[in-house]
Amino acid sequence: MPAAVSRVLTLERPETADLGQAARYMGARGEPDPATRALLERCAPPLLAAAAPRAVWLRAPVEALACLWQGADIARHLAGCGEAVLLAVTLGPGVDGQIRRAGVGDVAAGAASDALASALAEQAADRAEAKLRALFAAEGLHLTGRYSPGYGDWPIGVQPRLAALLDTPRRIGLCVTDSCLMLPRKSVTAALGLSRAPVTGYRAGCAHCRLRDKCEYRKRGETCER
Amino acid sequence: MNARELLKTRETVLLDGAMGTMLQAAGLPLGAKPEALNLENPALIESIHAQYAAAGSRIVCANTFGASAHKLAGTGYTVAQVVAAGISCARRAVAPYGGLVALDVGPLGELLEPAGTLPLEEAVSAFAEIIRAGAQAGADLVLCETFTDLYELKAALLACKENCGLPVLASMSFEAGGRTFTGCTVESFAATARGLGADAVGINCSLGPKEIYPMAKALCEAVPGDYPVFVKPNAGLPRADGSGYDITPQLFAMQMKPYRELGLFAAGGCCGTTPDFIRALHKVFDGGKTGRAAHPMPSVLCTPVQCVTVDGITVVGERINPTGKKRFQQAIREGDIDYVLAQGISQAESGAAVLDVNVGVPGVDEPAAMERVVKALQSVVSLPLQLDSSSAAALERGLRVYNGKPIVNSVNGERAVLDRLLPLCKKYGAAVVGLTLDEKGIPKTAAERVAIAARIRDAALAAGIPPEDIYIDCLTLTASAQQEDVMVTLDALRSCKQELGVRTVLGVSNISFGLPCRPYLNTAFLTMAVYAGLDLAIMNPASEEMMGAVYACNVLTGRDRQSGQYIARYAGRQMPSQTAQAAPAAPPSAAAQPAPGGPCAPLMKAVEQGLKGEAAAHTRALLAGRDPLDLVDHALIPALDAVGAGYEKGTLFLPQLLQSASAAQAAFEEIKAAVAKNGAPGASKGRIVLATVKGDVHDIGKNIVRVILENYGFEVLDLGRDVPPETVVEAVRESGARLVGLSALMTTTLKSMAETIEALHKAKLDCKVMVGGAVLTESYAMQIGADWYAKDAKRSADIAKEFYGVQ
Repeated sequence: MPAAVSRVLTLERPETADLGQAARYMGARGEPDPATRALLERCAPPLLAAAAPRAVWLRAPVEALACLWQGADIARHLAGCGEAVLLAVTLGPGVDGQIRRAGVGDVAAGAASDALASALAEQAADRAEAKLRALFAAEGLHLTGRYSPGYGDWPIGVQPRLAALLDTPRRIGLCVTDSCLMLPRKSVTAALGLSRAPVTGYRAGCAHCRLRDKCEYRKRGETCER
Repeated sequence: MNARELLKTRETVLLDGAMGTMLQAAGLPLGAKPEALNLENPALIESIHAQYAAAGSRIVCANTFGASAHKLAGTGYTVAQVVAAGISCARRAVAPYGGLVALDVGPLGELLEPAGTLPLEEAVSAFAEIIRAGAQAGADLVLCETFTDLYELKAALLACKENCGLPVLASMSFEAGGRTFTGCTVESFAATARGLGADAVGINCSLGPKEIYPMAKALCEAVPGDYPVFVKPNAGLPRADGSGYDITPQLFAMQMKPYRELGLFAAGGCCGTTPDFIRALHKVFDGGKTGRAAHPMPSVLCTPVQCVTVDGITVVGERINPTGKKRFQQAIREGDIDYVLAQGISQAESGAAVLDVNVGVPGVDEPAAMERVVKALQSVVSLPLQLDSSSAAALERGLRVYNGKPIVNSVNGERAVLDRLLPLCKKYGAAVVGLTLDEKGIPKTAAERVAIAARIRDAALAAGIPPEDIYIDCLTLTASAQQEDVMVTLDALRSCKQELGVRTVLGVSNISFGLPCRPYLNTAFLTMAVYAGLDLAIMNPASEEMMGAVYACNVLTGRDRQSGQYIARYAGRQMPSQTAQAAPAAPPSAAAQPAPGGPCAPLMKAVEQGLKGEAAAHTRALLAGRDPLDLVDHALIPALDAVGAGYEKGTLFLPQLLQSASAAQAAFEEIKAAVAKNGAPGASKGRIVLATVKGDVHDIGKNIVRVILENYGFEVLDLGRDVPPETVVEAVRESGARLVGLSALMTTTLKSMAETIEALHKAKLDCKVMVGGAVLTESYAMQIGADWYAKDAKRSADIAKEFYGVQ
């Protein structure tokens, strides 16, 4: 089954960071105030310079990846899809180093850099997803949205297996620890359904979310979706 | 022919091709562990090796690439079983052909500190287990390949050297940009692996022969002409449809032809290559000669991402040194690592190329401090380090954890010192500084100093240290006390450089000790020393005058071609003297103006508005004639309280709270410096141990809590991230702290938090625990035995104030 071998996807370094999203991750409400925006603008260039985004993916029949599908939500997300795509994206270890460096003696710059890097990781994952979507569209295939371990009731405990299937340490330098931590820290993994018919997948939403009782967004009557 | 003889052979030998590709073709299912087949299907493994041996491979790699305990977990096999079976499969296959068997060692699949959580020593142990098993099973040599993290390769090489006597080949995988995933350069790899005793260096995987060629050429240039180099490229690049690699054996052979000029010791293939590729290579390298013409070796110092070639004036930052700096001594004593890191970062930003690291403070465990500071510095700055100590124990701890190729400062002409320290430099592949003094002290004449230098050089060469790694320090004495010695130093330096062929070092700033306007003397001496042949100038890179001299000398000596660097640095800048004339008198400092709301009001405003620079400036001004701790109580805390109240009310949010905390942090740094200068002990409002628990590296939240607690005057012992329960217990016991704060961000690490609390309770320590973290809830906090749940940093400060009865 040669198609089950994971492949590297070339990603360009993003030219700008999504400052609005970074401000949100940092805890700002609405548009960031001028001081916060200035802080993010000051922290962004070294982070962008340190970012070396890489992605790896594989395509396999859903049943060949059965060891990953734990819980009801991921099954629902993949309903109607005969195949699945696994994706892992990382910004690389340089970003973690820059976050540490920015935080020395300046806790606000550390937190701002961390938030910027989270936004950049999402941007890189969005970019990778868009590339895959285009690739499959050429074959007349449709992809669902991304669904990551930790969403809904899909446990992050599947993370080591997902990484092993994608051979992430060797392909993109992404390792998963025994406590399911991804390193470099600013990384994203996800599963997407692949189908001949148009599919959207199923976002778990708040009902199944593990964080529903303490989510800051929910308390404000918002959701973590943009 | 054994492996050692093979390394000296005059003709290029062939390695094998891919194992994984052959196994996939044989139907290895998705997610299966290839190494388990050594036991489950040895006939298959043996037949693949035999095909390679028949195709002409003189060295075949046993199927042990992923045979680490971590990767084998869940297979039911031990490392020893898998490795022994793997070696014997290969051994049986090559026996008819007289080939050699390499124990194949790949990365562990875990990321090392500081990028990851795996400590260096654990990585060394994991590799040692594989290497001992391989040696035991009769491997002829070790091949460490496909490494992308130089630090992990160091662990593997240390494990090899400490656990077997077999030759070891080291190979890394580079991307098209010429760096590995972790940013390691070819030059850094060459310098570090050779220094750590690799018998050959190579490049494998990631790319095809065409893409790897320029890197292989660079690798050959970075090692001596007679040093063995090898390559194992992929069969081109992956095909877009995922059906394998894009070049045929014939094309592979064609693309390998240019490699004949590189005098490779060995060549083979990686992903996508098969016995047909090796057969094709056979024709390319038939009669190929090994080795290249001898070429002058550059003197390099490096970290993975930065390789500094020392050839002419190179600035070594001197500020990480406690001599005469009370604030620095206090920071080392209190384990205030951020202060030390800030010194490193600011010197890097000022233009230092190397950082000197001296942490010798009386009463401090210097070896432990050296290890801690080296690791911490390397996690935030990419400059090579100069490990500065006279303690062999401190140097060894620093050398062991250092990532790259450092320089040791220093040995001298004393036999005992040379015997103690040179073997350490050799083992860890460090360059070395030799001071021209001995048992009899510092000689009065240049000739005597040169004689000592020659002795040091000969001893270093005898210890196996290459000539390009020997640096001599002819010793700067102060012009105020020993004026006649100044020229002796420079004469000795010139002779060492010209006659001994060594690199040179001087601690420049010492020249002016005891005299006014020191930059004038420092700059003149630096300039004279550069003319005499100085390579490493240990100095303060924040000195604009001295840095100016460095840049100017580089123009005048022709190192800075077309004055490009000089122009880049100085174009459009005004000379300080011109600025002083042109600018009107500086406006009175803010603190000197009568401030409404009392003298502290501007500082409080700066903190509330999160203005770092202004907060520090106001603090400096206010400190004149005021008790530093008074400022904490009457300015910082009220300002932070006001911000905290706004946060609670929802009128301002986390970003503002953080910026205020940063401003207070800057103010606090000024206060600490003043306290250290007065020699008074800092009054602590209570001691608190903080840690991010074992298995978790998300420490932003914990860092915020630390800064806020410190800003409120608490003494915080920050144990960092990924902290095992026993370390927390130990720290609480030793420090007598009565309050502990624990953080965990992930659902999977909450267990560690519970275990840490349990360990604290079991140890019957008189302490309370507050916990926090994104996935934590009040009820879970109570369930695991915490005393408080801190929903945010503000709450943790409130808990601490309440607990220690602070108003």
